[in-house]
Amino acid sequence: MGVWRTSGMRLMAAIVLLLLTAPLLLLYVWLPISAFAERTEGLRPEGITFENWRRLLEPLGGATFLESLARSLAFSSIYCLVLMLAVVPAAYAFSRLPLPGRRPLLALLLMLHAFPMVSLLIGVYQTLRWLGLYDSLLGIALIKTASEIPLGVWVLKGFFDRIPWELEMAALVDGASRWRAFTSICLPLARPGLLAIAIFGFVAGWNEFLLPYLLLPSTTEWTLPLYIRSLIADFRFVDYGVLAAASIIYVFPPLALFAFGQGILSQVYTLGGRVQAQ
Amino acid sequence: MRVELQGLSKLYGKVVALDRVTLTVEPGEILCLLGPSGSGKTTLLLLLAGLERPTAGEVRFNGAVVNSLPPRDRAVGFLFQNYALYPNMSVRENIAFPLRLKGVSKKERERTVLELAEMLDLRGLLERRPSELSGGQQQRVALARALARQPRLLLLDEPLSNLDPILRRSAREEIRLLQRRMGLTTIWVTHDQDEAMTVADKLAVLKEGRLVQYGSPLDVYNRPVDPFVAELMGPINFLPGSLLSIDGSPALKVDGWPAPIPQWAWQPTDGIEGHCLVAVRPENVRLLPGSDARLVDVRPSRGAHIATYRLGPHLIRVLVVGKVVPPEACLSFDPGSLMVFPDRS
Repeated sequence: MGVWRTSGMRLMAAIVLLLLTAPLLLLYVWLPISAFAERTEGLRPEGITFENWRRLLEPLGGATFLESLARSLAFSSIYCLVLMLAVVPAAYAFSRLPLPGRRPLLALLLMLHAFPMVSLLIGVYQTLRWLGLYDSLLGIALIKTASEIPLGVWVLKGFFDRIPWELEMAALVDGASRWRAFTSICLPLARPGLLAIAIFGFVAGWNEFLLPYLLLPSTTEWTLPLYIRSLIADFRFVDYGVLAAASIIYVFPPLALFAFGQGILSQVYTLGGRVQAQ
Repeated sequence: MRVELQGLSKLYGKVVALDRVTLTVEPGEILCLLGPSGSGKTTLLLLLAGLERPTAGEVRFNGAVVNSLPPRDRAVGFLFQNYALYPNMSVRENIAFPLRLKGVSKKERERTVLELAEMLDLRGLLERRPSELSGGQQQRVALARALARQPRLLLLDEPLSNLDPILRRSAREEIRLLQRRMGLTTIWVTHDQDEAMTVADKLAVLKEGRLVQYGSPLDVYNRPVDPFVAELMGPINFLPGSLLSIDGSPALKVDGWPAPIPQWAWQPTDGIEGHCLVAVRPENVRLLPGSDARLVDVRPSRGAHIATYRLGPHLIRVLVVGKVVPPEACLSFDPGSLMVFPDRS
């Protein structure tokens, strides 16, 4: 770390990082410019207008932007909630309870995580058909949850593992039930992990494209990624102004969540979730 | 509260953590559990707190079997070795947590917390987080939390091992005085014999899950049942010897000693014959004028000296009170101070 103390090295680092991120930043710069311009010449806007936003609100082949937005928000939130409901108890059980076959199960979870979703699509399709959940957002939420559980369990189990056993024992001796010890001691101490999983979960749901694209053939259940795709694909000429306006709204929630949860997420990436320091 | 253990055993898989331990703790007494790490001390506490279920045997509180009573119904206070303070709560919330679980009213909780804070000198710290406290403060908070629900039994798992030596002595006094004032039956786990000697009313020595000896601290110190306990309880000299019968009366021949040692010097030795192990504590060796033993080393020890003398092939440590440590001496023993153990080697 010492080397970063000198301002010269810091400047160097900043320049290198700036160069590396410049292409990405340009994309983000392009978004607001195009959204408010009549036309653009490269990054140079010509004429300021709200016309793109007005057109964004017009219905488009059976789906409207606002409906898709609302559906995306609902889908991501519900998906995130269901994911948490499944992951939290599973992670706690793997971390704390003397389950028979705990190790092989954990190994299996990791293998499941490594399984690419694309290779399962046909099986997923048939299962959904059989369940009568084909072409419904609920079916997709269930599939998506199932596919994200393994990683979530692994990450959160790590957080529970770092909570000393003695804390729970102390709570039991102090008069708590096992459940109370879990809610009063373990959950608050695993909060960074819970937030991280929730943020990742929400963003994963928000970004999910493949499953709805393939398994939601009718337009009435479109989420935002499908709607935006239709802006590009369904017309002979692409209205980049509208696309930019839609995209600005589309990128906002993930950006906000990552900005809000940056510290917590970096803990997860470095596997350095500190339980003691609150 | 009277605590009785009857044939208490605990197995973890095939590992025997505790092997048929039977003992009684009288109301208001401090029982010290002494033993090396892995001897089952902590397991015993977990069984008493209800955090583990015994594999066999019984735990009785005031005569009632509590084997399957969950921890929250046992009214036990537990001081963990690492204190186990809840890092997500302030000191105040930590101490109040057991009271909250008990359904004590807010006003009553506040009163008890202040009372305990007063007693354990924590008044200025109530709003702090555990991570902002020193080791000694954390220990006092943990003690306050353990006492908050007015336990019938206090379990202390190496309560002083995470404190620095100066603090350790004062904390030891403090806990003992507190215990005396509250008349609280206490089980105190330690691996420090010094600590055990100074705080215990009764001492139980554990080794590999078995109770090896149980009695008053002095009793265990002066009449250990085997060489392991003898050494655990403090510095000691071991010498090979043999028990003989000379002209029909018993005699102890100690390797290196010129003459057999008369019977007044050793403790009764029922059932021991032939080769044996003789043990004597440094403070029970007397120096007489003579030249049998030569001084090889001296070091100061609590206002006295521990001197090492060479006698034949053996090195013998002697506690010398007074300023003069003679370079040569003849060694003798206090009456009844020689311990004789069967020779297992």
